[in-house]
Amino acid sequence: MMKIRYCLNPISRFQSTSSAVSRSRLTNDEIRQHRLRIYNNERQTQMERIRRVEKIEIDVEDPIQSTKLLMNKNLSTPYHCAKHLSSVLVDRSCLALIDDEIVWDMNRPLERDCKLKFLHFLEEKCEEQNRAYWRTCSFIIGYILETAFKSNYNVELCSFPPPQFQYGSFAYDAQLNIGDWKPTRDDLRCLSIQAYKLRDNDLRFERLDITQSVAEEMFKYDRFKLAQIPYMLRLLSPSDNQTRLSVYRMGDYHVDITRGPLISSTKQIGRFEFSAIHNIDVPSYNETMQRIQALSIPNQLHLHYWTFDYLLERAKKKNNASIPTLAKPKTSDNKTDKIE
Amino acid sequence: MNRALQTISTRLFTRPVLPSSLGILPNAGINFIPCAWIRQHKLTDQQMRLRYKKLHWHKFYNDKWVQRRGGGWDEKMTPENQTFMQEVVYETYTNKESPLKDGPWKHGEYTTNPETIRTGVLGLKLGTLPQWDKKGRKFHVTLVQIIDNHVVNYTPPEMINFRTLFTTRPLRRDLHGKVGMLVVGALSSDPRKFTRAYNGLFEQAGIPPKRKLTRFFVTPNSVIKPGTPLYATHFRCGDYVDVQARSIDFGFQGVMRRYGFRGGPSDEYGATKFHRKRGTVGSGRKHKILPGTRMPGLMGNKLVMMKGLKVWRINTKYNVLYLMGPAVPGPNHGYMRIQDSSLYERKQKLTKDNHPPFPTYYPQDGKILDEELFSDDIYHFDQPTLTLDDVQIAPLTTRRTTAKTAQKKK
Repeated sequence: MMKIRYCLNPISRFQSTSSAVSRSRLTNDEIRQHRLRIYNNERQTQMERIRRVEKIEIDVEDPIQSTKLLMNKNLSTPYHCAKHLSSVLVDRSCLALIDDEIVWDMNRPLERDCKLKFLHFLEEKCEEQNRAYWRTCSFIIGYILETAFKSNYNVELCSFPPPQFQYGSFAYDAQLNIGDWKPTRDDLRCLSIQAYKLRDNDLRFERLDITQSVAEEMFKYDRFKLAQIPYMLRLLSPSDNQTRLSVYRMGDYHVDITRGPLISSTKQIGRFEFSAIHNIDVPSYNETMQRIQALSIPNQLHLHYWTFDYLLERAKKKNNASIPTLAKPKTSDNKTDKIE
Repeated sequence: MNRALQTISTRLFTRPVLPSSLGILPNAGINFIPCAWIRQHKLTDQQMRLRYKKLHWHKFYNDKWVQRRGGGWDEKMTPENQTFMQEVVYETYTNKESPLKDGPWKHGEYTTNPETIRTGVLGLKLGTLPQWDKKGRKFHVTLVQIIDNHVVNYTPPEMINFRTLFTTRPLRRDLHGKVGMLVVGALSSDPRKFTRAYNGLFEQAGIPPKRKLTRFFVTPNSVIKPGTPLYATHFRCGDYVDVQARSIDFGFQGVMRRYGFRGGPSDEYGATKFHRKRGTVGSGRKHKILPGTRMPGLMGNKLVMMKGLKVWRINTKYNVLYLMGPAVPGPNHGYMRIQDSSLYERKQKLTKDNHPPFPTYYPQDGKILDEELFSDDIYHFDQPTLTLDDVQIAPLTTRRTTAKTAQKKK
């Protein structure tokens, strides 16, 4: 089915120059390894650019402990700062707040002198943390889709919509290439078990900003991602001369394009249940894809199974969040409203 | 002694001796020796106590069967979410129809010859009140509320293995293989207080999870479909009832309180160190203390059965039974199993025409019962007052004369 499609549309938007490489001979695992390899290489080169270790002063304000720390520029992360303070901060904090304005990942290196605050899930205002959490969970669905199916099935990931709580679930859009597959309750449960295994492995989410050429090399086997790359490039800081793309890696397992911050590690996942798979029509890519929906709550929020089941009934309904669209390319700051 | 007789019999007679439990009458044949197999059907107090020691730790429900309690932690939800979830819980159980496809089960028929055993009911002891009978005599009555009872499950007789069951009393051997088991639950409550496994027990019947469960052994003709509620009108006024409950826990008590020993004299009479003791513990030349010797120990908190309590009055609005006597086992707010009486005299009075609602009381749409139902003997205050004609007073004058004549003789 895959081969026929490629032959029939030679002049399609999502076939860039390097897609002469046929995907049909490679399994999902090999493609994933390829992406990870490119990520590792790029990360290596970026680390080597740091010639001199400079020190920055960080003012940590936290109800548990407030101190001033001397950390390394472009090397130390808020996670390292938390390790200096207490293990409670290490376990429960999912995001960091810099200068009371900017939301920062826990595993992203700090660049300048700043004030730091740790955010966790049981605060009064946890809008950002909740969104980051559901964004991470969508990311995890992508990983599970790539690894859960047998090697003769080829799953093509597309993207995921931004997290919106009013729809009752988070989702990932992908082309499963399975045909008419109605997943039973046991199938969904098997998928959920994969997420619980990730929690036991305690994987960290690391961010990397890459240029367009590296991105195209990384995703050369993913036709949907290749099409999205030109729309996702942004100038991340005014001093930067090249537009970059933010890419996250989960432990040593999976790489994907996302813009927003993700939580600290997979240990903070509580319950994770796949709820439903619905078909959606995507006019931008001229295809019918599947939207895989799930529901999750963080580990800190301990809900009774009965309340969670009630929320799961809501999550089974079709999620009407935005369908993946490729917006018209703009000149300076490229924006698309599909990936967050 | 029995063994000696046995050996004598095998020498004298060639045919083997048959045991009496097979139902052969004593005068069946010359080979039968009645004294060899005498079965004591009356046990001494000590033997009874040893036999029923197990009841100290019998529970209505053991967590080892299905883990019951779950939840109970602070879910850290906002108050609006909490009220919303409470409403959701009420809504799920108010209009729940039975999910079973087939309709109501066929009602069996009450038979006396193969005896029928109806279900019992789970009640809550509320307290005591005084009541008066039509002769003006006062007696005490215990109020027992039949809270929210539903039948949860039925197991047919083929699936029951009596040997593996741990029941409230040793079951009659003649019932083996002939009785099914009904599980009855009392007091519906929030599913978030229990584990998933426990809540699953009630899903098939379509009822909210119950806090208390018991089982009753019933003959197959008195089967009730799971999901039907049981009311106090399951019994009639004037019926007799057996009650099983856990008695009040007195803790570790000495021998005077526990068994009513007389103890010793007070210090006034020079008694040294013997006021509340048990005295001797030995038994003749036997170098041991006999099992079952009465000593201080834990008193109460064991399953106790009281038989033949009369139902004087029933309140249909709150499902309350008024049972005879203030000494029904258990403290207030203690659960009890209530069944039709197994006493011989009381069972004899039940016939095919005169029997309590069988298999249970089903409320009919047109008929609404009075709030209070009274038995025939009780006096209720709506009636005109009792007069001296109704009340018996022992005549005083005759007694006085006999005493005076006795004095005169002296």
